[in-house]
Amino acid sequence: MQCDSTELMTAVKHGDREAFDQLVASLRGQAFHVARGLVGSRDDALELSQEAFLKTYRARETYRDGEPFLPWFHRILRNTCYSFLRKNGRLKKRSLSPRFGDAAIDDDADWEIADDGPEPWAGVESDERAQAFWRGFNALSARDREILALRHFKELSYRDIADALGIPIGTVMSRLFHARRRLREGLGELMDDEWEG
Amino acid sequence: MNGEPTEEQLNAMAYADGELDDAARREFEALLPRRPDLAREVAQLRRLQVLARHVAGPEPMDTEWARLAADPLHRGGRGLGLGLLLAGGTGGTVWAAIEILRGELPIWGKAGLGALLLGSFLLLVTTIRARARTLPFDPYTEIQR
Repeated sequence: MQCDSTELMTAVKHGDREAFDQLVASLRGQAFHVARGLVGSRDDALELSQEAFLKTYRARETYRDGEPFLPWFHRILRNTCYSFLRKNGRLKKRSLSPRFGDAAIDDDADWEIADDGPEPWAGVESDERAQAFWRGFNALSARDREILALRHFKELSYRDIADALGIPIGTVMSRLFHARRRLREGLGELMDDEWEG
Repeated sequence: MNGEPTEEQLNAMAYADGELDDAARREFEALLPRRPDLAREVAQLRRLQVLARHVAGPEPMDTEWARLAADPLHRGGRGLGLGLLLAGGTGGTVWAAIEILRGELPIWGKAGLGALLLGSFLLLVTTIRARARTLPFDPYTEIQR
């Protein structure tokens, strides 16, 4: 997937508009799930994914030939979502993390998202387990949500997640382990049920 | 609990995710009957997978992407419209309140009209706010006749 998308983006940079349509079609589901994991709302996620693709197209001249495309795109998508959350006053620095610097959006930083927006289950038929899941999920940091969305909502392999985020597989496993551990702690009794869907 | 995962815990996670190759999978499965802690870890991870799949919901349909692509000004237009509506409502309410206070109505008349005005404005704001927040999750907006 990484090679395909990198080749497609290189073609886009050299003026191939059809390559961009292919790129969008192959990545929009993934982009949607990550955006939804970050912002919660389905409609916002849809629009922010679209916005990230538009930014990608506008920035095509700055793309370096052969540079892995997926991490580059994910930075654009992540920053698009962060800008949206910041405008809505929902993005906060994690106070206990030593990684944070100034107020600028730091790609490598971990961010806390205040979820005073609409709940993902609001207005739709849902059950208590789904609500409990989203409550636990929304209590996680942006970094945790991103990797969990790629694994659980888009069901990407470790290799594909590593390609998407531009990190080694070992780091994927470590981040996933900790994110899941925190989510399971947040879900509490739900994880002890015998429910199997 | 919050420390670095052991190799066995990472293997349990990779096993639950179907990421182990055949040899590693067989080796891990041979270990499971003797390690109830790892078996429980695998069971919980699988439960989490089922739950996440259940709540993830479907990806947007092609028609939704197409509709969005055809209308790139949608978000900006909606935001501008809402902003103008609220600014107009606020301005109109303030203007009307000043006119009522300046008028020659008796105090109870001013209080009544003021309450009516303020109530209408609050209802407008809360209704628009509630609708704007729940619209993305309204299941009936996606019905196609």
